[in-house]
Amino acid sequence: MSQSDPSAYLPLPPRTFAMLAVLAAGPTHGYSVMQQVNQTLGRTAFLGPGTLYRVLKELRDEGLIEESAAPDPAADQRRRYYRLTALGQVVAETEAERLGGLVHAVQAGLARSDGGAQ
Amino acid sequence: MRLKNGDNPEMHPEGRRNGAGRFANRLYDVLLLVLPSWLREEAGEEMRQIFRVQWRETQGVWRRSLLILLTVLDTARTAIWSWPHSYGSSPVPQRSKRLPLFKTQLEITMGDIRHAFRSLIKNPAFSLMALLVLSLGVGANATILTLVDRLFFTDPPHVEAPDQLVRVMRTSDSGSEGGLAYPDFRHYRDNNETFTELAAYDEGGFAVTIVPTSDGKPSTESGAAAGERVSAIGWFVTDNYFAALGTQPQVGRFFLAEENEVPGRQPVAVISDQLWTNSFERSRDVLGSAILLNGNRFDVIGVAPRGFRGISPLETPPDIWVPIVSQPTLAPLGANYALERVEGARWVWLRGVGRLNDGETIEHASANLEGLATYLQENFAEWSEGWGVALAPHAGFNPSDRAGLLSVTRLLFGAVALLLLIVGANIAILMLARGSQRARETGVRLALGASRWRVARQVLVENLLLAFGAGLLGVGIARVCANLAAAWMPMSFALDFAPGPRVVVAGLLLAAVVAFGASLAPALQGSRFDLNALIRNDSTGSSRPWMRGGLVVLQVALSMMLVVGAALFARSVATARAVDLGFETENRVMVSVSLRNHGYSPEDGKLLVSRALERLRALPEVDSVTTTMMVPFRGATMTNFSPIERAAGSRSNVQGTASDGAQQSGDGDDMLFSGYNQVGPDYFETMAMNIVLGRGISRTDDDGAPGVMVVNERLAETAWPGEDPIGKLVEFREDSAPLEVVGVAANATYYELGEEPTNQFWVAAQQNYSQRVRFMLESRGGLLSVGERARAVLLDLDANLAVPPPTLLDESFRTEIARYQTAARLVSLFGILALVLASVGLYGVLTYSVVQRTREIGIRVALGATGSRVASTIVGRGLRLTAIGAAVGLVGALVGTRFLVSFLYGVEPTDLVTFVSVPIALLGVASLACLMPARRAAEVDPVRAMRAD
Repeated sequence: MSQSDPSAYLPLPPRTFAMLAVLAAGPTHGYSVMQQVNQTLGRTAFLGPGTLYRVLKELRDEGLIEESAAPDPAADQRRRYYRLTALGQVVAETEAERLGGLVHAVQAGLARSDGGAQ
Repeated sequence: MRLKNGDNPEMHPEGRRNGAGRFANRLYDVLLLVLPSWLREEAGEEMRQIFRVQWRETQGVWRRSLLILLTVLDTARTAIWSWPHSYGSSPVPQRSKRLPLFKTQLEITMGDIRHAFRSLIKNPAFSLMALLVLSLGVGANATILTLVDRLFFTDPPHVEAPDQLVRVMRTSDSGSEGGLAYPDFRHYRDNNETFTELAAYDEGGFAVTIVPTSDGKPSTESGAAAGERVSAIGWFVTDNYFAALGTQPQVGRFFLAEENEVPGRQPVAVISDQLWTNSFERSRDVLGSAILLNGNRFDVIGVAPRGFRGISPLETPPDIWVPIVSQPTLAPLGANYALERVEGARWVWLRGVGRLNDGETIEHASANLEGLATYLQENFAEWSEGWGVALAPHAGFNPSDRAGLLSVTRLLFGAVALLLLIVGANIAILMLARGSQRARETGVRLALGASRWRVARQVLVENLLLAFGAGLLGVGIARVCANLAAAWMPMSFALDFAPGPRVVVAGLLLAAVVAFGASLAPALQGSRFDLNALIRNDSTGSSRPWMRGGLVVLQVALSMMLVVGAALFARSVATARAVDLGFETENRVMVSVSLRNHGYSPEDGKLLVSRALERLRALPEVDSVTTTMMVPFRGATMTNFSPIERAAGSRSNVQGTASDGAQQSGDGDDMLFSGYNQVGPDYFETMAMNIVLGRGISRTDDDGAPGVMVVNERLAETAWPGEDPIGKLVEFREDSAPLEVVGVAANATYYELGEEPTNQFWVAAQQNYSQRVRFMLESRGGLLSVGERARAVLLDLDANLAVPPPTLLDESFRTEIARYQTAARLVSLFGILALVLASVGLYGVLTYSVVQRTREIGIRVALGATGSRVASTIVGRGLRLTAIGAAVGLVGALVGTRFLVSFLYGVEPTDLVTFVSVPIALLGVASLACLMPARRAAEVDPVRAMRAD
């Protein structure tokens, strides 16, 4: 993929962002991604195996993630492991910044309206 | 090692891989097929693994249902998203560099759904009709699925890992299977290497009167706090019975090993949730209290969990469980007799149920037990010669019941599958009509630039919405009908047939598949969309009339097959009903009483019976009363028949005329085998059995009188060919004087419908004591209330007797023909439904064609065609379609009915009457369906028809 402008991918849907965030912590396998995403997002956005592997495949096609060796030789070798590519890393960070800015702005706005009320 | 009750809650943590799990795995495999191959190849195996892990980690029916639902949704969503992706060179250019998953898909789907709702509501006639038809089809299927699900795939409640349980049975050389004797069981239990636990329970159960007490004394007499006397069923079980099933008590504990060792030392009992509720108001104090069982004090030690019913859906769950050694306690006077039952090696009365060790196979366990059985045969030949052991998997049913049930359910499945096809064809017709109705709308949308996929998706969403509604409705229908259908099955179950989550999912899927399949019809028809033609509403170009016609033919053919089947079954039942059994079944009610566990000596027992007979005779509504040990169609008691004077001449006669029949089984062997029954006075009168010679059993044939017997014609001819049987002597029991033949009864049916005449004789109950007595009463009406009065009379004679509710003799006959009746009733129901649906389909197609051809008809009428002429064209078309369908259906039926033979009685599968009358009836119904459209055509007003466009 020659595409390298991270902002072209933004905004990321929450699920995709959550998946990238899980992988940002280090290489891991599909099921663990799914579990962690479901833990983070809770009932609001159930991530099933179908969606998981479809999105993983698309993220890989887009060059945001790649397959990797198991992080630990003792780990289950039958499973496939994934990690972020450099591009994926940048996309995730950019999205995090964007969301962070958004949260900050909203919080500031709320603080102001609170102050106004008092 | 043998585990005790209550101390191993985690006995088989790995044993949870049950039927539900397998079903879920298979379901997921099917779901995966929806996904494009690239995704399946990429991640199919891993997805499968994940689902398995999730399934294992999710406990409880509802959580699992939720998981299935979420997974189905997830797969559907993935499928929708992945397919366009798989067209690598899709003509639709990628709109942006954004990943496909970034599209706001959900909004579009919600929009689709809203639109679909609106358009369904705009066409209430179509929507309601489709909903009704589809939900009927799904309902019929869901009903049968519910039966199958509950009977074969639902684990018995409160039983751990039922897959590990096996039945242990005794087998004879001749291959028949039966219960275990207690010594068999003990030997297997103590020496096997393959079971973690081997338990046994009384196969019949025993009737008890239960009196709850507060302090160990019967409190009934004391009034106020008195517990009510309850007639109940109890089971004798081994101490490890509950442990083997992995059941935990909800209150208290289950049995200890020492409680099943010494008779009478610690009489203890476990009670059912129901008894706890009804007699103890669910008070925990029940543990301190005692109950009287047939007058004997038992301490209550525990309460079984609610809904626990052992392992078989066919056995009525008991109200009380007691250790096997309590048997003599419950029958103090007959203690020797009873002890013989516990210790006796010949008394096969136990059902063995064992839990296999982890990883153990049934084959290995069989081999292990067979080795033990051989040991028994070699070392205890006096009681185990000729007996082997057999294991049967699946604790739910014994193999023969299972086979019977399977054949019935298979038949019903076939019927509902045909019905579903008819429903599919019907819906397809509806959708075709609808499709042409909205052709203009579709044309406009296409012309305005909507993509083909977008338009198709609209139709898809509408159909799925319909399917969802119909699926839910269908499951609702199953909720009501499954219990009714179960009541029509040839066996009675003590189960509530409520559709489980699997049936709900299956119902929804079926509805979706049918709706989707049916929606292919308009899609096929409209595959070559001619935009101009559509917008001009010139429908002649785009429609393919053969498709509607074909769908009608299909429906008629399928319903023809169903109706032929139904007619054959109905004729079987009629034939069976009309058979002369040799006795009457109607207007006879039975009340049975077992004196076995109530401490009656033979003398007392006979006295009780004769007193009861006297009082019952005195009841004004009773026409006649007698007692019997055996009931027709409910098993047989066979014995050797040894005539003392068997005319020497006659024997050579028989051998000399061997050609005239195969009466003598043997090679000079004198033994005759015969069924027998012990009956009270007036038996032949009460049953309306004909006495052809001599007399029946009378009131004077009591202890003081000489012993008598009545034989049937066939036995008389076999034993004394050409001689007068009256006055002949027969040895009945070694220890008593020979009995004299006093009468000959006409041959009748005794054991099963359609049997060849069999040998049968009757002895007088007052001369031969039996502990099991059935009072048979003849009365002209209100049979059950007469039975209840008889029951009251018996309880008045001895309040401690356990007297189960009365039963009708006709019922045991109905059970006998139930197999035919089940098929007849259910298939007739489906047949009628099919016929109605096919008529509706025909009606719809004809009406549609009249509407479509209004202009043409108008022109014809304008040119001078008469109304009747126009009408006859329409009727002609309808009847032509029906005739083609009927012909196809006849061929199908000829092929199909061959598989029905086992459900037919006295009717050939190619029964001429059926194959002639059903098509005629079908044509009659079809012409009715043609009438309305024909009238409509005849009334076409040419002026208005021309002006319409």
